[in-house]
Amino acid sequence: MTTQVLELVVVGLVGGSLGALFGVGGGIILVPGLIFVADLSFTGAVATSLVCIVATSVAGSTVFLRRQVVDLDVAVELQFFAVVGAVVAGLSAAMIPTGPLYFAFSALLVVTAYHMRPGSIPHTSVETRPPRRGAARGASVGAGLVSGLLGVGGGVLNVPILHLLLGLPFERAAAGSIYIIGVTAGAAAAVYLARGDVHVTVAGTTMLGTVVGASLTAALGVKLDQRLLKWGFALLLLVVAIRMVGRGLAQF
Amino acid sequence: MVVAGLVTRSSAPVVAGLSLLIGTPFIAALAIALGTFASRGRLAAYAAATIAFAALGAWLAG
Repeated sequence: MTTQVLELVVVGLVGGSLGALFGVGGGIILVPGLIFVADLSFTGAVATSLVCIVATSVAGSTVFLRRQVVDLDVAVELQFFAVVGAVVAGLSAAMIPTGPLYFAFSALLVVTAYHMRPGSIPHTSVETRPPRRGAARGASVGAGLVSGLLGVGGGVLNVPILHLLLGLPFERAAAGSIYIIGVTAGAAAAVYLARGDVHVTVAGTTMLGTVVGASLTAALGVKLDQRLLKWGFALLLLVVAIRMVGRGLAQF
Repeated sequence: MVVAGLVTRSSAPVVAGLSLLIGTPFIAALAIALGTFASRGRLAAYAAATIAFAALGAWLAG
């Protein structure tokens, strides 16, 4: 019992720290961590991760909203479309076998690792381009589906949606994404909670680690070689992706 | 009730309150969404619609 509590706190700490360090929701680390370290089922890990994402998003959004860097006009509109996707995904998750979900998660890890490589995020000036609201709405539904099915925030999709499709400056896109992922994860978590997939003690313990990890990383303002750090994180994601494929194959 | 909320526009909170009393938070949120949309509160309408959809999802799952 004590060992599992420690495992959950450590997974939360690592997920929260890396999430804050690389601007991702943390689900990308939490879900595999909860499966491989805390021995949770895929559904249990997804449900727990979603609850933790809500906590980290609330903490981050509070700061961004106070600094008025979240474009609420855009974020509140897109969050609706993301929630539609997340709820549909949450309801469908119970009917989808876990094998393919492991493969989908591995694919998401590879995509994230690709985007994580140094110099890959396009900080291009897109403010002059006309916003593509229809495409952004459709893509937000997709981001919600990914979030609800795989237990991630979907920041890897939200930031490009806000930055490339709607032309928000990168910093505002990142702040808006942190806000949107909390609402999206909250809606999906409510579905999992209503179905009885959320273990309150497990989620609470992991959330404690996540919040402490994210807060400490933000407060300490870790100054490491970003290039080396990004390569290291990308490599870690690829290793986890291979392990997830292995776990997925074992389901058949 | 939802239609009433749309037609009367400003009565959306009343409709929402009545809906909550009979235990239908989804309908309540939908009424707020439609009511606020009708009174051109676009942002509030999206926010209420989000709550409505999340409530619907939890209700369907539970």
